[in-house]
Amino acid sequence: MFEHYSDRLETVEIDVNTDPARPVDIALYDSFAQPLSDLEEFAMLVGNDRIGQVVIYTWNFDPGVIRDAVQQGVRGYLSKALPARELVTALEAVHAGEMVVSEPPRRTASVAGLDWPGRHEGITDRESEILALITQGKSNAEIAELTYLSPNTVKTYIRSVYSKIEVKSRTQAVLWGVAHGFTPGHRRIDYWRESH
Amino acid sequence: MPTVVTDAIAALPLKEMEASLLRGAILDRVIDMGLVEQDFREAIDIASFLHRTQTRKQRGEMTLVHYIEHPLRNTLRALRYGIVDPDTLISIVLHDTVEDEPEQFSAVIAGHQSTSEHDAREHAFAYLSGRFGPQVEAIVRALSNPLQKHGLSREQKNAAYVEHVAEAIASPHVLVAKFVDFADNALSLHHSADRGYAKRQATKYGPLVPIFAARLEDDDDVRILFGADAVNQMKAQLADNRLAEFATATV
Repeated sequence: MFEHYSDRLETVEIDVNTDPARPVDIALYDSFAQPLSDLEEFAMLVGNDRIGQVVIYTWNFDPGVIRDAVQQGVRGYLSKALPARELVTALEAVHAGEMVVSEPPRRTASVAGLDWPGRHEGITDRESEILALITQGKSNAEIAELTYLSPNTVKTYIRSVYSKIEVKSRTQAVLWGVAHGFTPGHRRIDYWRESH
Repeated sequence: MPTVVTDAIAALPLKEMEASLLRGAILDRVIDMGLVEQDFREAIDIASFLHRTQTRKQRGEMTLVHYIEHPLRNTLRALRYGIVDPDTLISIVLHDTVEDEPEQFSAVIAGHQSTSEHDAREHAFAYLSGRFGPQVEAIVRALSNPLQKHGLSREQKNAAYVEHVAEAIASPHVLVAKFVDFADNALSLHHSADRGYAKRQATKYGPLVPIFAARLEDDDDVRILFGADAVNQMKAQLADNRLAEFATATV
């Protein structure tokens, strides 16, 4: 997503294979399949001296969650509906010391450049997040709570994703999720939890 | 007729019960519920005989106990969930007999000298079908891990195991039988004094947590067959699991 903006920012991917060798200015926390109510993780990132500012990147604009995140010291709360150009500008503003909370997104098509597991199988970003939560063993009630969707909407997404990945049961969906990289990458967050 | 001691035994936690207490408590319940006691006595005899030389780790600080405790504990656990289906319960008693002792099963119980492990298994399954019915055979078959190819790594074996379980528990009977097995193997690790053992078990069984959770979320058939109470107890027990903690523990 940031490929045309390398003069303005540098991305340091933190995953299982790469460890950032030096501190970063901004940690962009993707809320994908994560309980945003888990404030302990925000606080841990905010308190980490290898991270300048913490910015949340999410579809979830529940006012209570935004307020709690800001109280934990998060300096940016950015919508996944932002096009790359606006996202970069917002990150620069945060780096310059501003607090940025973007407009709540209207649920429309995904922004160009945004990526998620299963995208190449034709799974939408929202379906992908729900499949990731199923792969974690979450119930429909828990998924509804985590995604701020109604239980019926969750069921509709589930039916749609089952048909796309051609499974007939929830257990088959878990197996598919495990085989296609939908298991949570705890090591990403654990990297920042450990003291280096 | 319940006596003071049968009530005291019925109230014991499973982890404090050895084979004789477990067998007594199972038969007491079976009689209470009006099930065919003779079928249970025979199933317990077969399992006790075939497992007689096997031992098992786990149960508090005891280093080794007789293996038969494990299938008996699973059976009593299912009874305590309120499961009353005799085919499911008898299958739980017998669930490891064919996988662990196919040759003895075939030779001594079924009366057939087998030529291979596969042949022995088939004669054991045929015996189960004849004595306890095709449903018991089908459940025990689903609970017996398929014969594995040689040369697989531990990771490959664990992955094949998870896939096998995911398919097998599509049947609600197998789900219950497999869940009590999982509960005894993986949800009681806090009773084990051996941390290395707990870590290995947690690594093997951890991936089954979302599989069971997913199956129990689509639970209409299970509720109809076994009742909402049994389903809720399984869900609660699964939610309490500490497998992630044991799997990542430094030992």
